[in-house]
Amino acid sequence: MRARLPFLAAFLLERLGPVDEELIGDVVEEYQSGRSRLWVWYQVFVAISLNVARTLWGHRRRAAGGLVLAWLVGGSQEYWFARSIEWVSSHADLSGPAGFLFLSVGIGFSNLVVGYLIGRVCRPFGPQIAIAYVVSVVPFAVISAVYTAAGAPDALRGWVVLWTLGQLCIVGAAAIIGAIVATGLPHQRPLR
Amino acid sequence: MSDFEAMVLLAVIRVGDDAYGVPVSREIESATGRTVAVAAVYAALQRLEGRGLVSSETGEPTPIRGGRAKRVFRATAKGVAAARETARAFMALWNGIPQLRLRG
Repeated sequence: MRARLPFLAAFLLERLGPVDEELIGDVVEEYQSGRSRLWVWYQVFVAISLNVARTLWGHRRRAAGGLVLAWLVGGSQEYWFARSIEWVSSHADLSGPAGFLFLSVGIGFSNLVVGYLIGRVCRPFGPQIAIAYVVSVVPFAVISAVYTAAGAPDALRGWVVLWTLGQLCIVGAAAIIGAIVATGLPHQRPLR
Repeated sequence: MSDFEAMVLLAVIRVGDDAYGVPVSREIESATGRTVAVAAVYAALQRLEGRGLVSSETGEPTPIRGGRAKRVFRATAKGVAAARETARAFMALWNGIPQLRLRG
């Protein structure tokens, strides 16, 4: 018999899953009975997706307000970040690992702020609205990647796609962590 | 009632006294051969409960569930009648297609 759910799965279920204690109990019971980690991750994914959809539908005005705020703050940060990249690149080489680190930290920090604001404004549903914000960013990231890849030399196209995926992961993780921090303690007892 | 809700309602009736998320999901999985998301089962059960087709009560927490309680569901008389009506409607449609019945 296994004692615990995988750490990250338990963490995400606690913070982003539904309040229903019985659902989490069922997932724990099935995992203890021998279900695979893949099964657990499928349950976590569906539970979070349904919870986000239910939150958006049940709190439409607050969700819309949170998303508009996120887009305004995220958009203006993107603008100032692009300006700062121009300034930094005129003084330093941004093509190497240092440039990659600079861009990653910048994107991560700005989305941490966006997530924190969503979390403060949309308490206690901040993390769910932050997920919706991240999902809403995906089409723009894809369009941007396609546009950039089309203009890039053949050898660099794979890197453009990888960079976009990495950027999305940073945006998602930072925004959700920011919202979790702003929302505070989990709404249910810890699983571990 | 959607197909999935009908399946969940029938599974609750089939499982009987101890119809909580795990056995209901397993019942549907064994009938359909597909992996079922427990969260989707609960979402359907909440909708069914809202319509008065099932009722629920909180069970005892157990160590195997990390100390978390179960929510045990039971079909109401209205739920059993709705399941019967759904089956009757499906059978009526099914019987109207003799070529499919012959192919089994």
